[in-house]
Amino acid sequence: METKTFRVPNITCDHCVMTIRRELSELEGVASVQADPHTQGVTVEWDETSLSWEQVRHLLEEIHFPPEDQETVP
Amino acid sequence: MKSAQEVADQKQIILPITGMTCANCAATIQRTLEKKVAGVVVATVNFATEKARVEYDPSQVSRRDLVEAIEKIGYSVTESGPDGLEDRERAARQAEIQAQTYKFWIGLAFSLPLFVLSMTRDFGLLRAWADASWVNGLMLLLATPVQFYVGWDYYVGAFKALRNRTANMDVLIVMGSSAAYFYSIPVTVALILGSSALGTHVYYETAAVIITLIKLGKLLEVQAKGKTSAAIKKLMGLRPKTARVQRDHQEIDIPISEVAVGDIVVVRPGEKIPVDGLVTEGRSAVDESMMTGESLPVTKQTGDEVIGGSINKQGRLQFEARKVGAETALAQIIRLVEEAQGSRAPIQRLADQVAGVFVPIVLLIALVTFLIWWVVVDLGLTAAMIRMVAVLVIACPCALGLATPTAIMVATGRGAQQGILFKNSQALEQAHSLEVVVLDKTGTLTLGEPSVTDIWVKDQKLKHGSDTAASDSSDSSNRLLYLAASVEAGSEHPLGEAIVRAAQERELQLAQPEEFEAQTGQGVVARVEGRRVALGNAKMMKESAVPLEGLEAEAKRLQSEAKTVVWVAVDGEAVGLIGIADTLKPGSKEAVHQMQELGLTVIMMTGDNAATARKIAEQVGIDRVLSEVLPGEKASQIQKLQTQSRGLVGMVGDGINDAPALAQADVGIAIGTGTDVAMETADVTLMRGDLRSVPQAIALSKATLRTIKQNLFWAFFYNVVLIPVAAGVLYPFAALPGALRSLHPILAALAMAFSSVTVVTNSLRLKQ
Repeated sequence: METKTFRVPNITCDHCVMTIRRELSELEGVASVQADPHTQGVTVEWDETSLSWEQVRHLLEEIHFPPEDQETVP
Repeated sequence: MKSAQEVADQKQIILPITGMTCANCAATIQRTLEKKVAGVVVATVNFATEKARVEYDPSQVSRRDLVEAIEKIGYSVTESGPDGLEDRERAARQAEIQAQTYKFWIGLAFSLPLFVLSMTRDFGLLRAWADASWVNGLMLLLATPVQFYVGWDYYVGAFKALRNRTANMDVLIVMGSSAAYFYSIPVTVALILGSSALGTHVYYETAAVIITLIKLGKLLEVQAKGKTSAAIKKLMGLRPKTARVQRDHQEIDIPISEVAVGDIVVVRPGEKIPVDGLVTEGRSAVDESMMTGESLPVTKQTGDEVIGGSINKQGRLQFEARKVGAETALAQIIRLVEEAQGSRAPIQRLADQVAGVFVPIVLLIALVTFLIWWVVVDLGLTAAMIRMVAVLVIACPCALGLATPTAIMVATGRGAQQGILFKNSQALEQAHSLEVVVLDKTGTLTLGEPSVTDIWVKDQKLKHGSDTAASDSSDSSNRLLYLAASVEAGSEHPLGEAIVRAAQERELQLAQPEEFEAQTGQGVVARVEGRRVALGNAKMMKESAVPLEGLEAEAKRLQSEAKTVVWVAVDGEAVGLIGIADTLKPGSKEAVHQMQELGLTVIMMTGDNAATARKIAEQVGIDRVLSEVLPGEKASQIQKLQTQSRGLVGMVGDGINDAPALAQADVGIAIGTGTDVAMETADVTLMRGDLRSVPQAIALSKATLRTIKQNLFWAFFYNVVLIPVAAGVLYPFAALPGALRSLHPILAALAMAFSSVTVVTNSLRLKQ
């Protein structure tokens, strides 16, 4: 299992958070998604054997919520 | 590449969306629709307008599916319809009524005790305590909220008017009440301090009563305005809620908003046609009177246009939807009504016109009075000031607030007794200055329903109902009617109903038809007393090889009079014709004559061709005709007349198609039996379907205006006469009583009370 926490500056409201959680959860291999509308932080836990970070990143870009370039490691 | 067929199969709808909080939301919905819903071709979501425009393939996905997909991700779709705007307007109006009502009651609560206290004291009905100076202070306390809370609107209105260099009633009210109020303050203060140098009388009750009375008038006015937009609601009520469409070879009922262009819609007899379209299958008579004013049901068959909101009378119809939502004729009529209502210029209030001249003159007189007594006569500043204020106080026309509302109230009550409903005071005021009256033909001048006008039996014409008919020929026409009506007995076709009704009027006993057979849209055939009787149009006769000789000329003549001709053949031989038409209402001719007597230009407006229109106009004595006017053009015709005519243009009509014209006209008069919509759009509704109510309504309006003008005269009369007295003109005449030489405040109050009583009494005379 891989976990990553990053900032998505596009997040402005609860709807955005819901969208991100829903879309990421639909990806095969994603175990959990946490997102906070106030800090704009998103934490994703996924199975690296079936899904790469690039794929996660690609989806986020597709739904107009690209992660910030600088990755924050907890 | 998509084939042309695939492109044609796409549909487009607009969904109003709520719940979007940021631009990301719009992007999310757009993506969800495009990626997650199969069958969506393109989706564009606008965050600012809160609308989604979706192009989709109806064979794969329905509107319902789109709505569900949007709801699943946390947003909602509101059902379309302009009702939202409606409700906001209504709420705003309601709020204004409430605010005005509240202010009036506050005004009354303070003014009434103030008035009673002041009057009883002035007439010496109270004990000595009332003359104590603290009573004046109490009066100040009572008057202040009335002056600045209840009367605040007038201060604002007066300020705006003065800024525009005009003087309206607000200026008068503010000037008069403020003069009385502000004059009284230093007097009160001086009295409390033990000095009567500034006078002993205060005018708080004058100020408060003026404001409260006028607020009552304002309240009545606001309430009258409240009902206007119900018209649009009624028009909307005509829209069917659901439509039956064919989907996957099944007929399903769907909400009207889900009907898309290209849908095949099925309408059974007696049902409303939901949207505009082109008939693809079936045949029926459709009642379009609500939309086109055409009283006779129109036959619809493959290729004919049908209009949403009209009623399918007879057979099953199947049509392809061509216009939906805001595009339909009905939606456009609704829009037209809204626009016409919005475009009407506000009339200049009569009282304001008078005040516009009166106020500056009074101000001038007050100033001159002040200067004369102070500078010329040198009577001292205080005395000059008191004279000036006396002029202002006495000049303020108390009864002005009553002059118009009382006359209007009495007249509307009187009108209602006669079956004439004025929607607002503006209508009542304006009807008197009409110069042109446009009469719609169908349903206004005429009955609006088909009836038998002519019966022709080979070579001898018999006018229906005419007593000049010889008995034998009357027998033959009765015989023809008997055969025709027997065939049509039980018919639901409007022409058939007219024939049966004519037979019933002649008290003919009808036979039971056998082998009844309706021939698609052309006529009917049945066996009556063993004889084969065919009723129908010329085409049907030709097709069944019935020779038309000997009747063709008469048929042409009837047609030239805008009558529908029904051919009657017995055993394969044409034996007669029945002419059916919309006939004049009793009283139409008299009403036209009365209107002409009142000096009005009467014009008939109709969709008929010029020759037909001319014939009908001649019958009622109208010489100006506007013919071949399409339903959508009626409003613009009225507008044209308004620019041509110096006076006001009135329109009398019924039916929804007249609604825009009624709204455009300076005075729209809806004649009874008309739909509710027309009534709501109209300024005046005539409950009886009798055109003679129109000259009655105009006469009532003239009487009302005369009364209002008299009222304004009486409202001003005492004041105007007493202004010079207040100004001190009689001062040099030592022989006169002191009360007149320097005007006593009680006299001023009496003058005001008198003018109010006169005005109310005068208004009540309208009841006779």
